[in-house]
Amino acid sequence: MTRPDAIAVRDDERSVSYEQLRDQSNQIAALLRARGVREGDRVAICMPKGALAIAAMIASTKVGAPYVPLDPDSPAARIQLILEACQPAVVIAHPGGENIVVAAREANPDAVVGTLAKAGEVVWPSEPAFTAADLPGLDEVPPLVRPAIDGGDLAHVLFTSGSTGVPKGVQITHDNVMAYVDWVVDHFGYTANDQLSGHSPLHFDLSTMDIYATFAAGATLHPVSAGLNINPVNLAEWIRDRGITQWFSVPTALHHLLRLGSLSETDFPALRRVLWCGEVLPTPTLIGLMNALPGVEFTNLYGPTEATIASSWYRVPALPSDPTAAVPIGVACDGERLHVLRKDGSEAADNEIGDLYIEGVGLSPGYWQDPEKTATVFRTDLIEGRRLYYTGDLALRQNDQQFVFVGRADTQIKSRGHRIELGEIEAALETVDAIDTSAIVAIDVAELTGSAICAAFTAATPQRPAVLAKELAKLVPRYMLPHRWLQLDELPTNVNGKVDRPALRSMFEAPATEAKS
Amino acid sequence: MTGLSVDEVIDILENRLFLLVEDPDQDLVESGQLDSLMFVELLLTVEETTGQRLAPKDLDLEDLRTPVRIAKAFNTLLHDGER
Repeated sequence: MTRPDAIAVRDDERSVSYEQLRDQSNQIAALLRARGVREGDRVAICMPKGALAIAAMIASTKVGAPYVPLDPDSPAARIQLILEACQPAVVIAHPGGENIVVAAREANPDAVVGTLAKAGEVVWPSEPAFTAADLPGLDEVPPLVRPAIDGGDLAHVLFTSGSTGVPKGVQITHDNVMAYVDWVVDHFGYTANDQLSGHSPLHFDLSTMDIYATFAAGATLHPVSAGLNINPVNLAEWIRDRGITQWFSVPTALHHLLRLGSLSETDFPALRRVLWCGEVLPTPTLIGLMNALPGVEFTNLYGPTEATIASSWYRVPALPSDPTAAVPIGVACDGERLHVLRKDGSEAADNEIGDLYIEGVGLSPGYWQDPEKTATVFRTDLIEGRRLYYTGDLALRQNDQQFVFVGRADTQIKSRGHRIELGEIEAALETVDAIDTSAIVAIDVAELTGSAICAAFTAATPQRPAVLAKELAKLVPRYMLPHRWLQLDELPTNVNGKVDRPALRSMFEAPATEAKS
Repeated sequence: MTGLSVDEVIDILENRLFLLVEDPDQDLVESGQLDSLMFVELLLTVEETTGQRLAPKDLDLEDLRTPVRIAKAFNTLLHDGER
């Protein structure tokens, strides 16, 4: 540690130096060991984004236990599904997380659920297994023993939307993370003077880049709190006041900043670079941002969680002249390779649309305890001796060898900055009592960067969509709630008797007044 | 430009954003219905309804907890926007 006093994390409550972060993570690691956590066990962390949650992640790593970050705002039913799948040795929850405690007990009656907050702040229905009072003093922390793990072992498991209604866990190794972090720090020239935004929630893999690239450079991470995120104007002021040098987020946040953040009135003298990943940034939004923020470098990163944060990059060379032309996803990061393949597995020609596959150091070992799904998308049979991940994205390679994303081959969508399987919403909606039959489709609308989620349903009596939304919110995160609802006498079907989704999409694409409940 | 009545706010919340509003003083933040995503969608819907661009300066969560507070906050914004 060359600069122990340098600030590692500055959240809304405090600034934590590298030395303090090391000490705190050692204390938490000692607590985890004392609670019986061993190499290979999982530690579920369900805490608001901030220095303490990051210390808990590092502590988990120090004892060789992959961590599973959970969304504190997720409904208990979904948290339960994830905990049932990953069976953590310990759950670290925030003191207000009653939903997490209930979910953990349902998933495993013997679950060890504790908090790093003071006992007086805890509002759970049961006593926490540990609190801040159980953290050993710094002079009581036993010498750190390097865990018996290597780079191929798991660093964390990230649960993402699953098409069957059950979230799927993407396993990420230390080698996966380090390969990407090494590339990004070197490629973008991070320095200890950088002030980096931490916009993404901790259960998203973009936050992995925020955290570890910051620390690899000895820079400072500024987590963006949920409260701050609510108003783009306040967020813009925060970017200026904190002297953020690099902003990294999903395009939705950038779109909101441009649309509502009064960017033209706000000066970001320190900002040097804007990066985005996770969904398509509409070219008109990019043009607006580039006009509002001259002198800032804009880079598109592309990649699914299964390939660790990003697999390709495209630095925008100049203000795009054609607002209808998509921003390329660019070329592969070091150690990665993109392939556009035809259905028969052969390489597509330039400008020919095909299935996008990724090969390289970022590839996850697969899904948590799901060899079948893993074998379906991590393919070793297409190009001899190589392991490729089937992204489900359709793409083409231009003459200049830049890759361009053109759409999805399945029903996965991006909405409100999140990756969502429509099947997960559909499976949840089917369990709502008032609904007889239902189908979820997605459409593109002008005001949103991603897709609008549309729910069509039949029911015996007229339903208030707001009531249905409330029921659905007990099962899925709020970002999965439909933007539009439509009650029908019957769902349209095609000649095969299946739900006619194109017909449904047309109904929702009709003028808005016709497509509301 | 006329402002937004509380009833109009409730109509937007219930029929455009699908938030369940039982009472004009209902705390939508505490019930978990109004978060940052919904806030932006609310803002955009109000812009669409009123035909005015809003610059939501100095607006935070406390101003948006209930339909009554939302109406008051947006009327201030709409009024400022006319100046």
